[in-house]
Amino acid sequence: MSDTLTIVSALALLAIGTYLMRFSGVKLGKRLALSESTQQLLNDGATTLLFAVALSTALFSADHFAGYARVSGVAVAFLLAYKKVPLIVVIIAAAAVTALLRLLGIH
Amino acid sequence: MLREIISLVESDIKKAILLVCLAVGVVAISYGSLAMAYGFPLWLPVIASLFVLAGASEFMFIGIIAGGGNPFAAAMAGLLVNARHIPFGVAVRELVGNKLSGLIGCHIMNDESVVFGLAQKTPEARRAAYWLCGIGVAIVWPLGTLLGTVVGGLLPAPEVIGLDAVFPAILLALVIPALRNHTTRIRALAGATLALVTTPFTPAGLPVLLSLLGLLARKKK
Repeated sequence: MSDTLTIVSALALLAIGTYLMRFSGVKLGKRLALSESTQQLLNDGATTLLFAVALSTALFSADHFAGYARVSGVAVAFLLAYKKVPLIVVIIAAAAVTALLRLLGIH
Repeated sequence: MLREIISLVESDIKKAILLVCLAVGVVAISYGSLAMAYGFPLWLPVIASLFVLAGASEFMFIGIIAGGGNPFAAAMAGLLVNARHIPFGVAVRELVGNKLSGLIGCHIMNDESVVFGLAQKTPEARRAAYWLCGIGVAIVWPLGTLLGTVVGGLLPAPEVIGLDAVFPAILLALVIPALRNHTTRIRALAGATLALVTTPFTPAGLPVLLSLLGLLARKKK
């Protein structure tokens, strides 16, 4: 493994770079003079990103299939949320279904 | 200030944020424990948790270095994973606050704080939910990491109790209301499909950014 100084420098790069990305997004958003349709576009952008993150983390671990247990847990949670069940029930159901399937040997 | 924030968040949302923070805590413990197993000094994952505060990129960072990769390459890979915070920042520009609190408000930006924030109805509730979830994660993630470096081996892996399903589940649950809008739904579906198709052969972080091309999709006239 690399020496500590190199690792710490790289970590500083990651931390500062990540902060600057968060900060610059906010700055950019505040600076744009926004028409209503642009605002709608930006909101859809956030929804699209979050939806893509959700489906990616539901279906993949790194670049391979995450397994049926996780996918089933998330699918059950989605159906419950669609039926407007309280969020805590949605969360607990996702974990419980996934854990139970793994306990039964389904991965 | 925290008490005021808490009073502005609906009770169902509050409980959900608490559960998400608990799940983040357990994942943090496994992260701290993994960093120890890789042979990193105790302080390293804790410092990373405090100052990067973005789990997926941190796992990737320590994983690449432990595998013998160049630390700067690991940092660049982590930055690519975190690049979605730029469009997130644009979306939550009204929620992070101004001046000094705005500097902290930027740091506590993550998938969960963004989705909880954007999913609320009034501006006050949006800001409060963003901050409650953001602060909760900002406390629990480093503390859990520290705990994991000390006692990590004693706890079951997050997967055993199904916690890996919790994060996509909460994101999905909270975007459903926005997806009831027809145009939004078409864009989100097009974007997510593009992200999923490109995942197997693009570096982590890029597929999610590509999903933004879904914004070009429109309703057929």
